[in-house]
Amino acid sequence: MRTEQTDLMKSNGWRKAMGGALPLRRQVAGFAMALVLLPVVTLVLSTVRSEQSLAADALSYQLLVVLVALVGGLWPAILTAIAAAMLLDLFFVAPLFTVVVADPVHVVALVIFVVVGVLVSIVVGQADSRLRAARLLAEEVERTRPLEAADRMRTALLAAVGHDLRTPLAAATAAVGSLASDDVEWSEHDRRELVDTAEVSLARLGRLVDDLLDASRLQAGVLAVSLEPVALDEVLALVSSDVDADNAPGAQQRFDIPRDLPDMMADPVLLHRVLVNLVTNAVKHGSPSPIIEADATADTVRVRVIDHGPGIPPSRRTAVFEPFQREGDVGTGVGLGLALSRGFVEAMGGTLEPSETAGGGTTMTVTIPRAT
Amino acid sequence: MRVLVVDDDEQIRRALLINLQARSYSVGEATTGDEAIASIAATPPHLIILDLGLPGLSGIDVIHTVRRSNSVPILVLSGRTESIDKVAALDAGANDYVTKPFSIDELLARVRALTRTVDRESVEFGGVTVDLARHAVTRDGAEVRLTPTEWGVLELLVRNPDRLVGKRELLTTVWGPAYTREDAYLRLFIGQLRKKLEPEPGRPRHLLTEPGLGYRFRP
Repeated sequence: MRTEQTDLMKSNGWRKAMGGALPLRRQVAGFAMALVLLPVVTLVLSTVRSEQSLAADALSYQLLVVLVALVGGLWPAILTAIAAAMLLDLFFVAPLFTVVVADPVHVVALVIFVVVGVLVSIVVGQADSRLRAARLLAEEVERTRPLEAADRMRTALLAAVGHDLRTPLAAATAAVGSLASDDVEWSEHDRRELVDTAEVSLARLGRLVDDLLDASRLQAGVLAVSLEPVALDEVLALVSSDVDADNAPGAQQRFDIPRDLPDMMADPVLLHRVLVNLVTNAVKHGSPSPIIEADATADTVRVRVIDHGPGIPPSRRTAVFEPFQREGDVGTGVGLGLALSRGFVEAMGGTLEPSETAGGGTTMTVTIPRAT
Repeated sequence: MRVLVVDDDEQIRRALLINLQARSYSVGEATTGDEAIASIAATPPHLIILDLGLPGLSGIDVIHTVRRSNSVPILVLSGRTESIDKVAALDAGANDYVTKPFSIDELLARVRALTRTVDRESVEFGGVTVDLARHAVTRDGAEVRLTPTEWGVLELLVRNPDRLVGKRELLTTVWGPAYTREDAYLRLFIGQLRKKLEPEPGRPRHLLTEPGLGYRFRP
């Protein structure tokens, strides 16, 4: 865009004085118009010619010059002016059929034709270059619109990440700072509460930092995955205790796992985090007791986390897996959970898909290859 | 003295609650803007500590709503560090602004400053005595001559020790309600006051600038 503009300016240097050149297309149209209309006008005028019609003849040619200038700009206008002056002299000024430009009156007429043509084409050129500048500007605005949206998105995202980092940091700093200040004698209960505040906040901060790092690893394609045969019930045993107490108080999962479920080829640490995320999410979105089901196909194991919450509208089913779904500094969680979960599952060669629970709610299905 | 803490983060509320109660404040809590408004109507507090990023009604909305009927001091406690957010909060009627993460001692000092009522005859700092009754200033015993405008700026600042005095508040109080954007006047007069009163005018210790927001007098 910028180069285009500079080029335009450079080549326009000398033309600018004339109000800018018109596009070639219009200049050609101007020439064509002159070539067609000059004979036509001459023919028409000569058929209705009389002694008193000279003024009308001259004005008709002048009108033609103006029209050509309007359409084709400077050069067609000059050509038309000269041609019109000559035609006028040739066919309408006595002696007829001779070109006598020596007569000063005809020289004046020629000059006036040319001057009017030039003046009109300057005005036309200026109007045109203004129009084009306005169009360029409009295009520029149109082009930067997505950038602006991306900027707003980035700002909102920064606010969200900033808030999520600062809030636990602030709580921990305040708690530790209180313990360190010596103007108050803390009771045992208060001391414990403050230490607990710091612990809970720092743990949350730690989780967020982990998530942010993992998100960058996934994005950079450098997430370390070590696959091994994993039994689902071993992983699930840890999930219940790790469902984020902060985000999902009172979480109570129900398991429905066949005893003979085959092992999966998975990274136990990543799989654990995926399931914790999914269960936390289900609980956070209004389903205190999600159900975890599993079954096997010929070459995969499918784990379903089923909730009866409000569900995800079909239009949002893709969006919920985009990272940083939350914007601004309201609420908590930058919205990395589902994006990370899907990233982890895909890194293990599996899939994570949402569907609607029969009777309302969301079912998240993790499909992972069977161990052989 | 009752303080209402409005923040959607449980841990922040807990840390503030323990600290404020340990200093004999009675503390109310609210987690959303609507809860805050309801609580203020039910039990008017002497001070509000307010987070800006609240679910539902935002912190700025809360300030606007409170200010329609109430002049209770509002201390904003927010993770937003952009000065545009601070200015918006102050313009809406907040009295001071502390950025998260914050030092608990600093926060408590601001709380004390906002709840203190100063009605003293004179204020002293660094060898300077400001006699509020006589409108006279002495420095190391010698009289310092101030113009009426300089006096106006100084008086407003020393009557509010440790409190942030916003640019707009200074301008409208000293110059008049039509003056809200003439920051250059303020810089000029604060500069003159520092020359007359600060031991090192280039490194002020008592008449402090809060960049983008206003000024704070530290005794």
